[in-house]
Amino acid sequence: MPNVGYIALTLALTLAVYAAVVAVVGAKRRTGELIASARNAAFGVTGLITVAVVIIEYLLISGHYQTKYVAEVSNRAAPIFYRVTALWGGQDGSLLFWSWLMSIFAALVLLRKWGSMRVMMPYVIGVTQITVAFFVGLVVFVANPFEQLDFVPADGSGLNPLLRHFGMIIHPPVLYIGFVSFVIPYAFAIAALITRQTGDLWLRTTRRWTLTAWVFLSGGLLLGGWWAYDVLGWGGYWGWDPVENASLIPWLVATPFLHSVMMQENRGMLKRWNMALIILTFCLVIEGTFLTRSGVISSVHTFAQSAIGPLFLVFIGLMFIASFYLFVSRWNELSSDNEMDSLLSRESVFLLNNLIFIGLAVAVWWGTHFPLFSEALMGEKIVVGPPFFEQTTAPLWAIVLLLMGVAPLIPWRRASLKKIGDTLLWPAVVGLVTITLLYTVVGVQIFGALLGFGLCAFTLAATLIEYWRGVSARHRSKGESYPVALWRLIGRNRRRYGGYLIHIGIILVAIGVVGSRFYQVETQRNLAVGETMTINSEFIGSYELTYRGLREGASPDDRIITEALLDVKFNGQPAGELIPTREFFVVQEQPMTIPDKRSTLADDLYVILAGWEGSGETATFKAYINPLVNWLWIGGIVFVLGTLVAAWPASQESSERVASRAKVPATAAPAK
Amino acid sequence: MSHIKIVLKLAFTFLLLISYFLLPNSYSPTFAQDPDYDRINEIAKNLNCPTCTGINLADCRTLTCEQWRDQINDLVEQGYSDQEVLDYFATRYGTQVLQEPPKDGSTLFLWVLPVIVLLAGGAWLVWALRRWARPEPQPVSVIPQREPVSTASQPSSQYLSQVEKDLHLGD
Amino acid sequence: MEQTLPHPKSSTLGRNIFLILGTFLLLGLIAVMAINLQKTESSDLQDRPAPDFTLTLFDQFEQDQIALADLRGQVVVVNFWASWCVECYKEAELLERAWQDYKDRGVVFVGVDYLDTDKEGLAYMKKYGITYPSGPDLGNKISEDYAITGVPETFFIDQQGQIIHVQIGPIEQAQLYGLLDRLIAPPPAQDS
Repeated sequence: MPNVGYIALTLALTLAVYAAVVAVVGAKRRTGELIASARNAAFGVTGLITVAVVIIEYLLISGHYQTKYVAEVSNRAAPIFYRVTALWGGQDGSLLFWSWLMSIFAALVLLRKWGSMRVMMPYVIGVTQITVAFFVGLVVFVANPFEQLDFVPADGSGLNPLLRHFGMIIHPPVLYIGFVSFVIPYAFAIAALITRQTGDLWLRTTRRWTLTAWVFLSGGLLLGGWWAYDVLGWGGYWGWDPVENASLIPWLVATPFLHSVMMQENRGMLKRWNMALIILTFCLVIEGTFLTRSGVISSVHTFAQSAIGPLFLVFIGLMFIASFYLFVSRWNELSSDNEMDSLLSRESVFLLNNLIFIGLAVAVWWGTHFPLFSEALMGEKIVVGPPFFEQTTAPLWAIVLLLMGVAPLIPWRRASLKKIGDTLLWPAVVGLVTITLLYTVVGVQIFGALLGFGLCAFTLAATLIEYWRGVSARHRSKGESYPVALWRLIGRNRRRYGGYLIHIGIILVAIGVVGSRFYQVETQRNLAVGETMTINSEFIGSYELTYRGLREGASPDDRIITEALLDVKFNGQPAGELIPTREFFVVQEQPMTIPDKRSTLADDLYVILAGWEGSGETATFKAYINPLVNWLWIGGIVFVLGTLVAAWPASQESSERVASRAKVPATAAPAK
Repeated sequence: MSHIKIVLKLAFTFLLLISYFLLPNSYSPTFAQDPDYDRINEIAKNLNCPTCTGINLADCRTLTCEQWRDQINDLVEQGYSDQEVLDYFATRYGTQVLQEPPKDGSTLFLWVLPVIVLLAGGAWLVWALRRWARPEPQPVSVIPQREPVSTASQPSSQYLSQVEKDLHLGD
Repeated sequence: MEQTLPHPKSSTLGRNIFLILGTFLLLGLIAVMAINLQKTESSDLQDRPAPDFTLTLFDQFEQDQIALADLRGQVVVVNFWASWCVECYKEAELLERAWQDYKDRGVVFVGVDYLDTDKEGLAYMKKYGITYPSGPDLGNKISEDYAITGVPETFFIDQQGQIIHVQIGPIEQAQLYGLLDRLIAPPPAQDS
C-alpha cells in the first residue's frame, strides 16, 4: 500500500516535468495538441498526488506504524481527528500537503475559460508545473513519508503535544493555502513577461486569486497568533520568531501589490512595481519555506534538519535569477502609460505606500536574516530579539495606518490642498479629539499608544465617512432608505466597499495590538491554599485571584492533567473562576502550560499555573491583564468578511442591467 | 479484555497518579521566603531562553529556565542591580543570551542598514516625484493619450478598463 | 505608436542600476545561505584534531583550571552535560564508574557543564557522585568550538589529540568500555 503511494508520487513528478516541457515546446511551435496534452498532464498530476494523499491518510488513520512518518507523528492514543491532521504535523507530510495544494491550484486555473489569454496559458502551465515538480521531487527523493522501517513499532511516538490544539490544526492549512496560491499570480506575471503582454490582462485575471491568497495568508498569520496566545502560555501572540517572520514578510509585499495594481488598472502606471512586487512575493514565499525547513535558522517552529536545505537553495537561486533577469529584460515594455500629474495625488500616495511596505519588509527580513549574515561574515551567530523589530517597524506601521485613512480620500491625478484639507478635516478632528480625550480623561500617557489610537480613530473616521458619502448620495438621488442604500452601495461597488471593510478590520486589529502591547500588566505570586493575589490595570480595574486547590482533571490515555482552581473577583465583585492547567504528556515526557482566560471586549485576564509544591499546598501563578486583545480576533473576522465582499463575483443580473446602459457613451466621469 | 488485564491497568494508572503527585514533577526551588517574582521576571525579560528560540527567559516554562530564574533570584538577593545581573549572564553564557545584543561593532551593522535603506528610499521618492511632477496642469481627458505597446490582439487596455470601471464590469 | 518616453536616458540608467544592484544582492544572499548550510556540527569533528580549551573547574577541585593541551599523551573523554538534561541522567553513574576503572590506565574524564547554573550543576554532581574534573563552560566557548547540537555529547580523544569518536546522546557500558579498551591498548607491533 505505501509503495503504491510512492509510485503515484514518482509518476506525478514525471508527469509534471512532462507537462512543463511540453507546454513550452507547444507554445514555441504553436502546436495546440502539445499544449492540450500538457493541460491534461497537469490534471493527471493533481490526480496522482491526490492518490498519494489518500493513501498516507489511510496509513495514518489505520495506524500503520511501520511507515516511518506515521510512527513519528501519531500514536495509538491519538484520536482520529489528530491522525488526519497529522498529515501536516511533520516535514515529509507537510511537503506532500504543500505539493498537493499547489497541484490543485495549478489545475483549477486551467479550468477557466482562457479566451484572449490563450497566449499565456502554456507558460502558466510551465511555471506552475515546474514548481509542483520541485516540491514533489523533494518528497520523492529526500522527504518520503512512505518510507518503511525495518520493523513494526508497537506504537508511534505521537504528535508533538504543542500541536494538539484546534488552532494548530487549521493554522497550517490556511497558511499553506495562502502561500501556495500565490503561485498563480506569479505564474501569470512570468507568462506575461515572456509573452510581452505587459498590460492589464494578467492583473485583471488574477485579481481574485491574489485577493484570496492574501486573505488566507492574513488569516493564517492571525490564526498562528491566536494559537500561540491560547496554548503556549506566555501571554502574547507574536514573538518575532524567524518562522513567524518568514510568513509575515511575503504578506508585507503582497499587501502593497494588492493596492498598487489599482494604479495600473486606473492609470497604467507602476507596472514595474507590480511585476516586481508579485515576483518578490512568491520568491519570498519560497525563501520563507526554505528558511523554515532547512534548519538554517533554529527556531521553536523548525522541522528537523535534513538534506533539503541545499536542494532548496539551488531551486531558489534558479528561480530568483530567472525571474530577475526576465523582469529586467522587459524593463522598457513596463513603462508607464501616463505621467504623474501632481505630487499631491492618489498616485503619489500609492507610491509612498509601496515604499513604506517595502521598508517594513526590508526591516523584518534583515532582522530575521541577520544571524545568517553575522555567521557567514564573522563566524558568530548573533541573536536578534523583538526589540529590534519593534523599534524599526513601529514608525512605519504608524505611517501605514495614516495612509489607510488618507488614500481613499485623495483623488487621482491632481488634488488641491484645499480640497484634501476639507475632506480630511473631520477625520483629523476625530483623531485629535480622541488623543485629547485619552490623554486628559482616560489618562493614557504613553506616546506610542496615543499616536496609535489617534491614527486608528482618524482612519476609522475617514473610512466611515466614505460609506456615509456613498449612502447619503444614493439616499438623495434615488430616495432609498439608508439601510437599503448601504446594501446597494456595497453591492454595486463590492471591490471598493469590501476593501474599506477590510481596512476597518485592520484598524480593529491595530487597536488590539496597541492596547495589549503598551498596557499589558503581569505579575507572578506563590499562593498557599486560600491565599489571594491581586493584579491591577489602571484602565481596566483590579482583579483578585484566590487559590482554592489543585485537582486532577479528566485525563485521556496520553497525558496527565493537573488543574488549579482560582476564584476571581473583579473590582470587588465575584467574577467566576479560572482553571489554568498543566498537561503532562507521558510518552514524550513533555509538559504544557495551558492558560485560562476571562475574556471581555475590554481585556483578557490570563492566568497560568507555573508550578506547585507537593500535592498543591502552595502553587505559583503568573497572571496577565491584556487590554483590548480580543479586538485582534474580531478584526480578523471583519477583514475576512470584507474580503468575501470584495471578491464576490458580480451577479449575472446586475451585469446585464449594466450592460444595457453601455449604449450611452461614457461622460467625463469625475476622477474617483 | 480479561479481568486481570483490567486490574493491572487500573493498578498501573493508580501508581502512576500517586507517584505523579508525590514526586516533584515541576521544579520547585526552595526559598527562605517567597522571591520577588515580578522583579525576577523584569530582568528575565531581557534575556533569551537558552534552549529555545523566540521566547524570553521570563516566559519560558522549561526546567532550564526555572533554574536560570532561580539564579537571577540568588544574584538579586546578593544585591546585584538589574544591569549587573545581565552582565553576569552575558559573561557567563555568552552575549547571545541577551535579547538586545550590545550595540558594538558587529551588531551596529544590524541597526544601521534599515536606516540606510530608509534614507535611500526617501531620497529616491523625492527624486522620482520631482522628475514626474509637471510644471503646468494638463487638461483632464477621458480618452488615453496612446495605445499600449503589447503585440497581442488586445484592444487598448486602458480605454477598456476605463469603460469597464464605469460600467462596474470589473466587479 | 508609442509616445516617446520623456526621459529615456534615466530609464536605461535606472534599469542598469537595478540590474547591477540586484545581481550583487542575489549572489550575496545565495552565498550567505550556502555558507550557513555548511556550518560545522559536532559530528563533523570526527577524525579531526580536538580543539584546544581551558576549562575552569568547580571549587571542590584542587586545580583552578584544566587545559586540553596539558593532557596530551593521555586518552581524554570530554563529556558535555547539564543538570536539566534528562538524557544525561542515564549515563551519569556509568561515566563515573568508568572514570574510577580507567583513571590509573592513562584516561582522563572531563565534564563540561553546558548552559547550567553552578548551584544545580554541583547538586547534579553530588547526586551521581561525579568526581572527575568538571566545570562550567564560561562564555559558552568550549560548546561552540565543539559545535555541539545538544546534550549529552561525548568526545573521545586519543593520545595524539585526535577525536576518534563523537557520541551524540547517552552512551552504553559495552560501547564505552570497548572504546576505552581500544584507545589504551598498545599499538600493534611494527613490521620491520
